[in-house]
Amino acid sequence: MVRMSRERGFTLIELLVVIAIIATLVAILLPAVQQAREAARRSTCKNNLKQLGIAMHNYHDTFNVFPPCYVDMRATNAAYPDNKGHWAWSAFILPFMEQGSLYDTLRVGNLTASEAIQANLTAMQTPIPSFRCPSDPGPSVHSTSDAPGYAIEESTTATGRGLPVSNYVVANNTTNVRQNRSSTGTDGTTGATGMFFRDSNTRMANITDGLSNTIMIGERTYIHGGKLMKAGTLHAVRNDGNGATSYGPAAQDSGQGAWNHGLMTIAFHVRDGINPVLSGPDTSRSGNLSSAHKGGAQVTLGDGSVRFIGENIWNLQETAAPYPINSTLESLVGIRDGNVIGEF
Amino acid sequence: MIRMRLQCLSILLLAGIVVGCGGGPDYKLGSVEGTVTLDEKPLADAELRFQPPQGRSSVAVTDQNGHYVLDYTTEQKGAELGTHSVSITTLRSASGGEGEQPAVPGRDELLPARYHAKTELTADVKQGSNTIDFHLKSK
Repeated sequence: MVRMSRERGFTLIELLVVIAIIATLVAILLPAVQQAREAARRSTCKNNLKQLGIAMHNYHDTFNVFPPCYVDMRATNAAYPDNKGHWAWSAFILPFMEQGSLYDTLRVGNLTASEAIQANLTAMQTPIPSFRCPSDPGPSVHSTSDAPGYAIEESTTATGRGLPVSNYVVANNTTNVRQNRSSTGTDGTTGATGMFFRDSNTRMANITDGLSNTIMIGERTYIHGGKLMKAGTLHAVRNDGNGATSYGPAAQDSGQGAWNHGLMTIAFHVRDGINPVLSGPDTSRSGNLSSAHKGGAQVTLGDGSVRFIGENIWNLQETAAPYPINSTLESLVGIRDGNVIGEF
Repeated sequence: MIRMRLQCLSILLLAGIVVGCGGGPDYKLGSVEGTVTLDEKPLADAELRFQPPQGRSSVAVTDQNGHYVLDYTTEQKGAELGTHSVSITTLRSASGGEGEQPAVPGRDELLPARYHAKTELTADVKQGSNTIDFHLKSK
């Protein structure tokens, strides 16, 4: 009898060992589930960047040129008023993102951005999921009190209207963002060394460094390291300046230092590297790339491929002129610097 | 019994392998802090940048006592090992003032160019903790 009962049951030690193993497995699995959720969000973000890359290429197939970073309204209206909107690159690729009906409703190019937001506020403020990274905790539309530089005024009233938040911004420069094209192509203080700037008409043929070696689009989060970085805006960018002395979205051109509006709301620079340490909101560092993913940020290259770039990538920023393109991250932004890029 | 023990052992071994496979970043950092003074008085709100010859730069802002702690990323403190070119600036452009944003007034440069644009400052960052003080002169 004694022998029988011994064979049927488990000893206390055996039970404890099994419980310990189960506990260990659960302890391993629980953090892994959170990791898997973040990995899924990261691949959704990656897919968004890929779709934007394809849309850019389809735009290029149709018009034989990449969309302009923004179209400067002052070309037809020299005294274009302060705080009104210029159409940005994200509006021009809407028909290539299966958003043709939104494009037609807003009448991009027929109306100004300020006329469009007055006529169709709901349509203009509708967030588009393809322009949002799922890991980003920001709001869907910019608040005019938190981020007035990310809003535009209606055309005949002075009412500010927030633009939808976009996590994706285009490549502009290796130093602070600049409106005009760089005269040298290798010094960011002479103008934009990247693909997108005011009325830009960059063709694939202009990217002599090669499409696979040039960043086209990157990501920026709304909150980075606990500080507001404010991501970017969809559809439009705010004008800067007053009346006849209007500068366009020139807020970061030399002598125009103000870091919370202008070109940096639709384009990025890499002066402070990827995932910069922010000393507060509205500093010069808000114009860089950042992501809610650990250790770096994702970018779309000119050939449409999406890469994750680590935040400790080599980025050499000089303290005085000249500011040559002489490090890996800078060479990735420059379209005609001629540098050989190793592994990144 | 032996079979069951073997199963237990193999499960534990597998768990060990899974846990042991997490790789850390492959770069090395040294933590850096110190004090910045201008004409022997502590310099507040000065921005420091440590630029290594290759790699990512580290930044810091001094507090009211001129004390700073270098940040490498938002999560990691310190700087890459090796010799850095250091620039210190007090220049700040105005921002804010719209909506509910606090207006941050601009500030002129208090320091001569040999500390920022044409910097002559360098610093050696070694493994472990480093204390690097800068005693600047306005003339």
